[in-house]
Order: sequence, then structure tokens, then C-alpha cells
Amino acid sequence: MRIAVVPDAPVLRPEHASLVDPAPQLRAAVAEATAWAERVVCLNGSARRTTTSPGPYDERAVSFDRALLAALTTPDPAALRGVDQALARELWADVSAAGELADLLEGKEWSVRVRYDDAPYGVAWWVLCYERADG
Amino acid sequence: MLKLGHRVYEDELPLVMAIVNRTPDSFYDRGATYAEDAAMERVAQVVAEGADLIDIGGVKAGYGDYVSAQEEIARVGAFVGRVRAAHPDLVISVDTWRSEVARVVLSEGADVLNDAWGGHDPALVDVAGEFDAAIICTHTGGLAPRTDPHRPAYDDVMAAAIADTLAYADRALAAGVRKESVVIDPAHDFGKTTFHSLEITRRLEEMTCVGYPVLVSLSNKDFVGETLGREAGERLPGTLAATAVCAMAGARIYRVHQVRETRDVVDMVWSIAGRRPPYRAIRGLA
Repeated sequence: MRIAVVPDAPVLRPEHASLVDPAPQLRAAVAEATAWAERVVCLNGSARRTTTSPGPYDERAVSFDRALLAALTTPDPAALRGVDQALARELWADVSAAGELADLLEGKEWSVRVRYDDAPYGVAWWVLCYERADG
Repeated sequence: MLKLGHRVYEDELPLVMAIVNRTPDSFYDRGATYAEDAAMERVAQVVAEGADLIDIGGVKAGYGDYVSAQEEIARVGAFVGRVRAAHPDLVISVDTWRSEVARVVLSEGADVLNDAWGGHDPALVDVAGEFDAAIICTHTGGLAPRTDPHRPAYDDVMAAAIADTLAYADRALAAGVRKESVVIDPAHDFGKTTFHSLEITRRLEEMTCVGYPVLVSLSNKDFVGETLGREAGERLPGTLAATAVCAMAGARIYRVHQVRETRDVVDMVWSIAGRRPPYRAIRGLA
């Protein structure tokens, strides 16, 4: 089983194409990960990380994202199920699929590759690739 | 497909044609690029500003001192060769109605003949066909070169502009010009009152759907000045407003003095019309 986690960023959609791509690295990472994966789960961190983020700055955003990324890369299914969804909504994070991802990851050994980890426009974007450690 | 001399355009994107006058008396620049070196500097400047092609003129469109064919050739002939050498990929148009001038400039490397006087010299299309050049077929209502209109009257000015430019296009095709190298131009101000020019602007979509790319030459013209009560140096906003309307109607080539401003207006309208993606859009999409 190969699983990819990618952000559902509208900038990636064909109808939003620009002459100059604002997110070429993210686009390349998502293309590669989704072509490789058998299952794709969409989530991303906060959109209130900085004063230039889409949402108004919230000082809790960065630590929320840090904890979430740790749960994703460990991976820690229990921590993913336990993500505070109310806080996530406050912080404009899209983590509604965290439980689904936890179910996919539960009870198995995984090797995790962080293909992309950045927030160039103030939204925490991750592209993560999960592969069964035992093949 | 559009073929302007050596250059083929497979897409449908709009093109900006920069005016380069080698005249001492044109109404807008008043001789600023009459000297050859000044004209070369103007070419380099407009290329840097994003012009897709240039239109070199050696005779003022309006009344003025008589300019013989020999004098016109002296002004633009070798100059075309110099521009060609300095800018090998640039599309070069020459604004002339005379076939003997056309022959010289095409020999020097020009790509396009801009016949602003609507086929006054019937041999012009033959030269265009002989050199595989593009030709711009304009509507002047039968006016002789360098003549101002006096009480021009049309039953329907847009119908006349379409009929006359299509008839001119047919003559060009018969002379061997490729269909993809024919451009039509309703010719604002030429043989027209301000009311006529406003009407062809308002109804331009009737012309952009007839099967040939449409060139519009609006830049700082009298119909803008008379509409707004502005002198030649004060007509840019009005010119750009007319440009936007023509862009929405799908005009393909814009003959202009101000390249950068026109480029922005045309690109903006093209994107509003859904024909061009934004340059770089991230707002609300992260």
C-alpha cells in the first residue's frame, strides 16, 4: 500500500492555471506523489501562520502545525485521531481527513518520506509519501 | 494561423505594433524619430517594452509637404535593412501605399505592408504576393492618400468597412498573398467622422467575426481628441478606453505609440474575456 498526503490547494487546479506558476515546487511534488500513490489523502496545516497568511495571524498556528506534522511523520494514528478539529477550524487548517488517514496507517509499519514541507503563502503545505515498511 | 512575413503565429494572442515614424511632421511625435539614430533608439525601446512588431512610416498621414516616392524610399528603405540587421527576429511592417516603396522595403527585409490608404495603388498587392509578405487592408471610404475627410457619408459605416476590406482582401488573395497573411483594418479617422469612428469601435465585433484578423489603429487619434476635448498629448486614457473595447471585441493587432500601456490593457481585457490566463494568480488559492 502506498499513500500520499497532499494539500487540496485550489492553485493546483487546471482552471486556476497562470502564465507563471506560483507554486511550481508544490505542483511537481503533488504530481509525483499522486502518480506514485494508490491512495491519496488531502489535508494541510494552518492558514493563519503569519501576518501575510490568508487568515489573520494566530500565535497558536505554528505550534499546531508542528505537532500535526510530527503526528504525520511518526506516524502516530492515535495522535491523528486526536487532532483538535475545533481548533483546526479556528486556525483554518484542513484536517478533516486525519481520521481516515489514521485508519489507513493503523497497525502497520510505514516508511515516511517528506516530499514537500513549506508555507510560501502562509499556509502549511505538506506532501508526504507512506510506504509499508514490510513491503 | 497568422503569418506575418517570416513569423508564423499558431496561437490567437493579441499583438502590439509600435509606430516608428521617420517623418519630420507626424501629428503625435512631431519629428522626434525623424533622424535615423533616434528611430533606431525608438525601435530598441519598443522592443524592450514588449512590442511584437513595428510599423515604420516615412510619410505623414495628414496634409503636409509633398513627399515623393524617392524621398519616402530614402527615409525608410535602408532603415528597414538596418532594423532587420539589428533585430533579426522582429516583425517589420512598413506604412506605405506606394508599390515602388513596397518593393524596396520588402527587399530590405520587411514582413508586412500596412496600406493605410486602402489600396490606392493597385499594384501594391502584386508586390506583397511576389514577396510572400503580409498586407493590411484598410477602409478609407475611397479617400485619396493624405486627404482629410469632408462630409463622409455611409448608409452603414461598419457594413462599408467590412465590404471594402473584404474586397481588398480578395484582391490580395488574387495577387498571390496567402490568406493567413491578410489583415483587415476599419481605419479609425480615415474617411470618417468622429461619430463614424465611435460607431466602428462600438460595433467592432461585427468585423472580428468575418474570418480575418483585425488591426485597429486608435492611438491618440482625432476621434479620441474630439470625443474628450483633448489635444494630441492628452489622449492616452481615451485611447486606452477605445483599446479595451476593441480588445473585448477580439481585435488582434494594436498599432500604437505607447507600447507598455497598451500591452497591459490588451492583456487585461484578454484575461477578462477568458482568452488568456492571469500572469501569476495566488490570491485566495493557497
